[in-house]
Amino acid sequence: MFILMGMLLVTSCEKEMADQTGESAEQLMAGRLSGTWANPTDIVTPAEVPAEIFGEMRLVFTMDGVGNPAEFLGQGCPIVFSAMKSSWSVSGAEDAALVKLTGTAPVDEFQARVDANNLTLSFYMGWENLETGETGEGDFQVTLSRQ
Amino acid sequence: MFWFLVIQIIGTGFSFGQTKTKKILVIGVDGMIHSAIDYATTPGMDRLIADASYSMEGYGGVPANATTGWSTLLTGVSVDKHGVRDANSFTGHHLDQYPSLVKRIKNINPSIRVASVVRDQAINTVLNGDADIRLNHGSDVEVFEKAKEVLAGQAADAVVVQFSSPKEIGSTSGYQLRQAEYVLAIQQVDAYIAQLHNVVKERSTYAEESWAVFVVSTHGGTETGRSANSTPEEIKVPLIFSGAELDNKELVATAMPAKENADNFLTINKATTGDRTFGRIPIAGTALQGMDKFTIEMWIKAGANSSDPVIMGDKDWDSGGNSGFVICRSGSSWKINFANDKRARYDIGSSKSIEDGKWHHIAVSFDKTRECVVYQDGERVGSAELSYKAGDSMTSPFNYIHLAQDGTGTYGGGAPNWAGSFNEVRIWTTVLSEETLKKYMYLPDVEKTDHPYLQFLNLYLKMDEVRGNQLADHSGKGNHAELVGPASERHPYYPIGLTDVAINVLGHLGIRADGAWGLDGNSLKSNLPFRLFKVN
Repeated sequence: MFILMGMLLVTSCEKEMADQTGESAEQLMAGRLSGTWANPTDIVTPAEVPAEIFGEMRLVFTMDGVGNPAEFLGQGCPIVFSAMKSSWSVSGAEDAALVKLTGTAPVDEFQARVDANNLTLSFYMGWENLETGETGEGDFQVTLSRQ
Repeated sequence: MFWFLVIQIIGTGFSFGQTKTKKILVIGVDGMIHSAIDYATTPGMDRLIADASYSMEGYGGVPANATTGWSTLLTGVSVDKHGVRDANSFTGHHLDQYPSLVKRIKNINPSIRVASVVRDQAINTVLNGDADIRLNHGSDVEVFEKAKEVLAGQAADAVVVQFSSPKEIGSTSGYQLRQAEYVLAIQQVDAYIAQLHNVVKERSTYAEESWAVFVVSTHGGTETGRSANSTPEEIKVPLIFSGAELDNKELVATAMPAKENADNFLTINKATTGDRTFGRIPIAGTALQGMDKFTIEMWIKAGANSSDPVIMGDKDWDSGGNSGFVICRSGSSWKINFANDKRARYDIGSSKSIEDGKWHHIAVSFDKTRECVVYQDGERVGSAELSYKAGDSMTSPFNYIHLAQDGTGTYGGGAPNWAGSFNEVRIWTTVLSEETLKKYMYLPDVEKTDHPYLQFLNLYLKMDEVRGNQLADHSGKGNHAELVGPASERHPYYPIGLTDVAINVLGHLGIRADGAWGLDGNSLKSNLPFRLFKVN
């Protein structure tokens, strides 16, 4: 019972804080990410994987009328995001956010670090060279600039 | 990981170190209109589309005819470069500078054997003279039979096939889907395509080969069958790029970034921050300030809007009696409001919706002492006789014509700005007739046409820029505009075009296009031979 009361208290505090700003933590982060990001730079891939794997990556995050995450467009980078249109959610803070995608593959979640001008995505994935059959896994990272 | 690889190998048939022989079949159909595949029964093309980069609204080019279309398809450059404009002649071609991809293939890799099986003999003599096998026949069925034979054998790695019966039927009885004859011609071509695809798949060596099958139309056509060369029905063509490990998806312009040297458009959104986004054209001391006569025309696609935000204007829209003009949202439609320096105002609107998710051509012709006429999609939809005197001034006190905002740049109705897309924004300082508007409204690069009023063109924003904040004026008058604010996007008007065929054929055959070739197309293979997968 004590634990339950504690949980209710925490829930209540969170709700109260959200009400003070008018926006939830997800809405605040969604606002940071909302918009168009392009021009991949500062690319990190495993040694055997070329930087071009990110293609002409251009990401668009949209929000609904009340500021919640709505559509995610992952353009020009079909190896990373197979579907051009999917939906998204976000948690965490601007220096360590987690973006989850629904309706696209193979990358369906990534870490994001965002400021006024740049968005850095990072994720850990397996990779396969379809011509040689070589495989591996490792860290991928790319920085995009706000359009 | 070992078992994962085993499963992958079993599942995909992939074998280490083995590269399949690249093969390609390119089928050009003359006169298959862009809506044909939606209306006719086309299981052959449907099967290709299931594994294709494709669009039913590709750009065929102007003029829209088979000779020009085949030249564009095979050279990979637009008509401005290859120079073939006549419907039945290659006169004036620049194929020495921009040769057919067949020549490029043979120059780079002579071991790739090319077959060209066509209806029009001139294609084989002028464009495909370097092909190893050149055959031409008088009917589609003969072309089909011969192509089938070539594809079943081992004498060719790249096969070009031409079918022309949709053009032959369409040019006599109309390119229309209410005509059983035209629909049957499309369906017959589809049956040929399906059977050729089957022949490819039944090759004894198919397992060791990587086939791409491209099906494109070289031009569309009008319902009457008469050639106007300026209508979307003629210019838009279906383009299907199947196989070749291309991006497997329908290509949608609004989801694609703007392309260099292409017809792009500008989208202005409503910034979530509330900051205004607009274009502004400086008009102080130019012919665009206080115009007594003008025709404004533009292509727009409305976004989500409310109230009465301004699509274009130079006046303070807080009052309709303020001097100057605005073209603004009016319900789900639009109107023009203008007033002189004595606050005598007119409001003339269209009755047709622009908020249907489609592109619309809107135009207003204005003669201060005579009449104002409003057009939508080339049709007259409103007008008013004007009672202004010659001495009345229409000049706004502001020094900009704004796009997506009024002359002040701060109008609050529908704030922060009108949301929507712009393309081909033109202002003429004279009155254009309905006939002239209709004739040229679809044509890009109007400054290069025989438009009879080019000397009155004082603003021409093509919106083709890929980046940056300048909106270049192509009227020759130097009235360049500036893009202001955070919420704009640029996209291609046509997702792909006939110029995209050659570079993707070359890419599939392992030939990297040299920048010096000046090809206009874009590779649809943004993926390298890599895939990613999740690991625990």
